[in-house]
Amino acid sequence: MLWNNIKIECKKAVGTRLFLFVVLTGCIITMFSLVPCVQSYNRYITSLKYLSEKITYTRNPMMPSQTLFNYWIGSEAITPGSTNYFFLFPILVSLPYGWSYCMERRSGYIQNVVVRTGKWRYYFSKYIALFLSGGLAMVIPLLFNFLLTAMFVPAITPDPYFITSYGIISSSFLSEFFYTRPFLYVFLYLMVDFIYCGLIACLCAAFAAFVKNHVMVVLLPFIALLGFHYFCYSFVYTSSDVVYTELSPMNFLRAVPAGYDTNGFVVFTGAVFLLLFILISTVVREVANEVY
Amino acid sequence: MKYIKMVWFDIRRGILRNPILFVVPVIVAFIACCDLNNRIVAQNEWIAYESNSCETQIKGGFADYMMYIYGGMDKYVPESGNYFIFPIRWMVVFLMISFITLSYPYKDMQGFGRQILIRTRGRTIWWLSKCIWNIFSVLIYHSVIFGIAALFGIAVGSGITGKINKDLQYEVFQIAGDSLLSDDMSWPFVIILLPVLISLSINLLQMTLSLFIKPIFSFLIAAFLMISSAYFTSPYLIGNYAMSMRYDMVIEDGVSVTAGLVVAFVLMILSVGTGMIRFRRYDICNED
Repeated sequence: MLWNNIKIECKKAVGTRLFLFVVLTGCIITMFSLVPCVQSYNRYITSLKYLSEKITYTRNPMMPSQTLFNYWIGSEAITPGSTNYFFLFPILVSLPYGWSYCMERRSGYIQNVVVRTGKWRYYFSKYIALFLSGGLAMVIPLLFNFLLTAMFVPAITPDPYFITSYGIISSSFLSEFFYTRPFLYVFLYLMVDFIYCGLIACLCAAFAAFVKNHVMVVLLPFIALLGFHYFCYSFVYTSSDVVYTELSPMNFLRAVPAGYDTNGFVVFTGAVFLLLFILISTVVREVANEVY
Repeated sequence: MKYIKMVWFDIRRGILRNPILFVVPVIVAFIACCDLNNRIVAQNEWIAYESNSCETQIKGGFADYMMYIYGGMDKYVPESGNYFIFPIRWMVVFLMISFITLSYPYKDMQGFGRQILIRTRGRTIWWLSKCIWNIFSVLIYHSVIFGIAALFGIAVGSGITGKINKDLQYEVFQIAGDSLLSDDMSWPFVIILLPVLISLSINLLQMTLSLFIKPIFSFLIAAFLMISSAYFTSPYLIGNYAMSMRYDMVIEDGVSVTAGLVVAFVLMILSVGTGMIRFRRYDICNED
């Protein structure tokens, strides 16, 4: 019964045109990172060819400074694609299925399902579907960009000698993997993004316990993240002489530290806080209220 | 008479019974003013330490706080190592009012407003009433921000003056040396009023777009427009006219204030007109 519920909810979450639209929109936005990066790499290759004709040399000593792992969208914060994607992602991950709980409660669908399957099976499968839709909506365009960039830029293992080319220093989150196992680094970051964006999508259902309007419910995670980012930049990062730890997910979900470096403790604590908020708002609010 | 009653109804339901419209700008402006105040205090401490005197202490006034809130950011030049950091304070100011005014027209059309539409048989009046509501909401929102900045100006002892401290603004916005203007002209206070007009036009545009696409997508377009405007310094992206620090009287190669005023009014008129035409044929029974 539970498995059937999960299957139905997941199909409703990812098997719709809205999910496809969101993923396509994300992929189009990432193209605005791919094109400038590939153009930049081509200019670099052209300048190398020019130099090799003028100055005869057989090997480029600067080769590891230009690699797939500093040209894909997650590892740069310069192109318009990267800027737009990592600013708009809270809206994109909430769009596919964030509205569903609100709408089902309004239409009476929830009552029909709950009398047949029970409250907790319904909520559990709803959150699984939200988590999956949010995570996939974030990761699929990133993976798309990574694979497309790999068609143009070689995947040379980064060299710590060219640390200024990557922006990832020793104190950066998972930096030890970046310089030894770069593919694993990308995979781990995609996992972090998947988990975080899944939780951000689940926030929609948590906020639906307090807000009845489905438009507000879908946008509230974005507003909450924006507000937290504003709070951090106004009250936490106040001095230009101090090296702070990045707290805002709008920055640390990139594979390169655009502001300050983050660490595993912040990432883990943030995820736990989101999870607790979702659980508490669901358990406390929904146990107290009837669905009828 | 019918029109006045409808406008009053929208003001009562959409503004007076919407405390968020009053609370959010207070919080946003308060945080921004505290932030600038902290920076000024830190700057004064540094000046006192360097020069060993209190003579050249900076004092932020009402206009400085307003410039800090509506300034935006310096123009961005994409180059290696220069990561784009979006202007969060400016984003919050403009996106919050877009968020607050997003759902009321749509919700009203699906709810009680439908009864009013049927009984008044005036689609144009209904649409114009919503436009008036939108304009009032935006003006109230920005007035509250102005009010909080004025209170801060009074609290620090500078009073309510329209004088903007250029050196302070160049310092807090970290304007690049080659963007600085070398003239001694003071900045007129009107450069803080244009962002309010741009905000009005963007909100009216968002409301009109909601007639063609779902409100969530119209907000997404507004957010995309704002972040793109922050990234590209271009007169074709309207968000640039909402950043006081990107005007041609503030930095080199800035956008024109006059062009901004024209764009704002043209966009407002176009949005209202397009919405009026669209709403005449709009299917109000189409429930989401």
